[in-house]
Amino acid sequence: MSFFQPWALFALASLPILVWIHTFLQQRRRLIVTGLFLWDERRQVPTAGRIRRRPPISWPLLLQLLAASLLSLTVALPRLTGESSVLEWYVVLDRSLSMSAGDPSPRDRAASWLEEAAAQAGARVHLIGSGERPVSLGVAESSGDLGDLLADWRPELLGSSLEAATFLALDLAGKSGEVLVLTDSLEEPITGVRWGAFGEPRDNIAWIAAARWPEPSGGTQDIVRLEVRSFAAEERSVTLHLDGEEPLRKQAITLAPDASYCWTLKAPALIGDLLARLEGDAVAFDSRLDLLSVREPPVRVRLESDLTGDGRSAVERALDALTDWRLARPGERPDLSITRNVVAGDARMIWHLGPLGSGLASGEGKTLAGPFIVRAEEPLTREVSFEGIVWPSVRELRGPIRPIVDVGTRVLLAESLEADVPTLLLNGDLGQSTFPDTVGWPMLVSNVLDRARQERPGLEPRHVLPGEPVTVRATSGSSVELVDPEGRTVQLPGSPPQVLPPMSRSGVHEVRQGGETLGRFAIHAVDAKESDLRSCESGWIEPEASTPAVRSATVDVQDPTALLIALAALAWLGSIVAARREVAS
Amino acid sequence: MDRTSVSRELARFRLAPPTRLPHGQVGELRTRGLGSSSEFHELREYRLGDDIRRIDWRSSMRTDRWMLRLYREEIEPRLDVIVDASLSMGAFAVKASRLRELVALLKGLATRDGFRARARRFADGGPDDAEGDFDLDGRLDLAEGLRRAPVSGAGRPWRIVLSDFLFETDPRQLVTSLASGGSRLSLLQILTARELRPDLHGFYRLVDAESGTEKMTAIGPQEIRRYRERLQRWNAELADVARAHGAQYLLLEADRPLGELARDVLLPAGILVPAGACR
Repeated sequence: MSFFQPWALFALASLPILVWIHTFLQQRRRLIVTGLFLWDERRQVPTAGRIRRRPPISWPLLLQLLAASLLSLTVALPRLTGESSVLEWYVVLDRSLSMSAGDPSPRDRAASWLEEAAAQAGARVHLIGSGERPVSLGVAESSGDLGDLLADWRPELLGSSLEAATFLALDLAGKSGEVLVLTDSLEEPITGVRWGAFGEPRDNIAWIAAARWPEPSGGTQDIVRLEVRSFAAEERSVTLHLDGEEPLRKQAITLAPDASYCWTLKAPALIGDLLARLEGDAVAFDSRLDLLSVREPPVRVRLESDLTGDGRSAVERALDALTDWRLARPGERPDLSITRNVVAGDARMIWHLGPLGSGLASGEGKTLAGPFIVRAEEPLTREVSFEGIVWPSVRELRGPIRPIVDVGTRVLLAESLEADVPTLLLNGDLGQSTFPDTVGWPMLVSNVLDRARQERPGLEPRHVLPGEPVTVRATSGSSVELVDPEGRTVQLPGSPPQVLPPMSRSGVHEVRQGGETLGRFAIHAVDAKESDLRSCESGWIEPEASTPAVRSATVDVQDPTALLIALAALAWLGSIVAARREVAS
Repeated sequence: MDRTSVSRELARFRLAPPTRLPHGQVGELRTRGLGSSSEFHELREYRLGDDIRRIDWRSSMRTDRWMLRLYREEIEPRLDVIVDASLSMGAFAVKASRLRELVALLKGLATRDGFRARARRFADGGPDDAEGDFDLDGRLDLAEGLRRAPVSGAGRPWRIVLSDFLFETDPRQLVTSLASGGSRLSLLQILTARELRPDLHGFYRLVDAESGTEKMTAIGPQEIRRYRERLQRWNAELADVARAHGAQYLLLEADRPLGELARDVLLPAGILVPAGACR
């Protein structure tokens, strides 16, 4: 037997209270006798101190205890266990963002209805969240369980598909279960599915796109681009705001139905986070967007002393052509150490430029002129061409490596697999090579800087749509925590770097490691389809085919409430009769 | 207490006269024996041991023999009514009422019929006079009361003891102490119908009227049967002991009217006699 409302079993606490009441009444039911010794063979102990009393077991008490127990069980809504006797509901919960529109939202109304209906029906409820990949939110055996599980129903997805979840529910329900879909609009009926819509048509104006990026060519401004659209039935006015710590810009606009407006503006890069908001729109979920600062600190580069001659000149020339880097100050941990053979222990990344020493390479040096084999999809060689380049003094690399560019027998560019920090090896004598004279060289240096930037702890990208991946780069060691917009902290499993599990809660999320912030990212719940609430409605579509016979066939068997109430009433009546009989005697 | 009943029974009965002469008593009752009252009865010859103060010198001189002047003896018999004034006697209104009525009746009859009567209430503070609606509030049972204040044998009184005798004691000791120095002892046990034939069912917290001792118990037919057996044995033992001491034991059911008790119990037992009977 299971209980749909097990909290009601707390009513069983009334049993000791009943015993206590009887004991109390019994104590009051004193009978003065003139020869107590005639009532017992043994003499009684005078009433000094406390007397241990046996519970007053009597028929009225026993019957009242029985009645109280039965009533408690009745309120607890017991269900007989066994597959054939339990009403099973497979409920698809729409997780699309539009379910959160308004207060109360369609999600709130649907959840309330489900809790009440399940309690009345005494059903076991299987919750399935909608989406491209439906998720099980759990099985509720009791109303308490259901409440807890429904707390995890957060409509955050964009364009969440109900179809996959509905067919999954149909598969799971088989012939014995009932499938319900709780959403905010009525759609084409599906055989065997009870469709409940809890939506409400609303006018809405929403952000449908947002972006912030640094001004090109090293400017000090960020460019912000926002797009707003009206999903109202009539022309509507709204005020656009862009705020930093203080209000930055605002603009009042009037939008015709389905009209859009692009708001492009510049903001100082150092202003930090921005908030784009709409004033004059009642639906909140798509009216606020966080635009985080997108500026990364420059890559700290250290040119080691063993890098001399033409090779050093080539590196310095390429760096001069690039931005977002600076030389590491003394005592500062460099993000990238460029060297010939020095193993810089404190650098986050090392780039060895040839000619490499015997610790890194061996054998006679060969001059290579291609053709070079470049690994596909390799970020380091992105937009770098090696054609027509002559590489002298290319030796054989030592140790386990991951070749990136090679000629088959000799490797030109590789990544060491045995170093503690990411280590790149550029084989050959760079000073004698023709490569620094090509456009590919500064591109390679730029790619290496990008790689060094990526090796720093942090995360990317900064702005994502619900469900889009976010990659966290963290040092190994202490665990990584994710703080969601409500301030709740979740410890992330696995070791860094890692891709965060798909998230959909809009707002600013923060990733921490060892108490320090690794980075922040904002999820933008912007989607034209979700923001269009004009087609939302409420109502029910009953299944065409009659849903499972389980309801009519087994409801009497699985719901012993009436029987329990009858037994409890009988027990109580019995206790009254017994008590009267006792009094009469 | 129903004073009307007492008055009615006072008119209907007399207290039975003493059957044994008390020594050296004076009073209004004239007995068939000889005594020392002033009413001259006859002369007889002196016998060894007679009181020489009663030698009638004139007759002795005349007859030349020691003649003794004999007088009709006038006695004042005593009635000592010992009342158990413990809480158990007051536990039931009918029992307390009947007790007070009996005390009033016996005192009234005794006073009217020439007895020197005294009704003493044995309570915690020692014996005192049981007057009118006397209190029944003693926490000590009668046996303990008698131990603390033994009865006096002065005047060889007829003792009538009114109690329920429902206290744990040695009946021999009790009866012996009561019979000590008395000319007659009558034990009148007063019990209510509820005490004789309790009709209870269920759970009770039994509280002893005097000691306050408690007992939680379930009472059913079996317990009732055992109680009645124990009461019967107790009363039988008390009656046997009384008989052995030449005392009377009478059981009075308090629920019966005073008149019935007088007519059906006290009269056949020789405690009372009809008012018209000769002295």
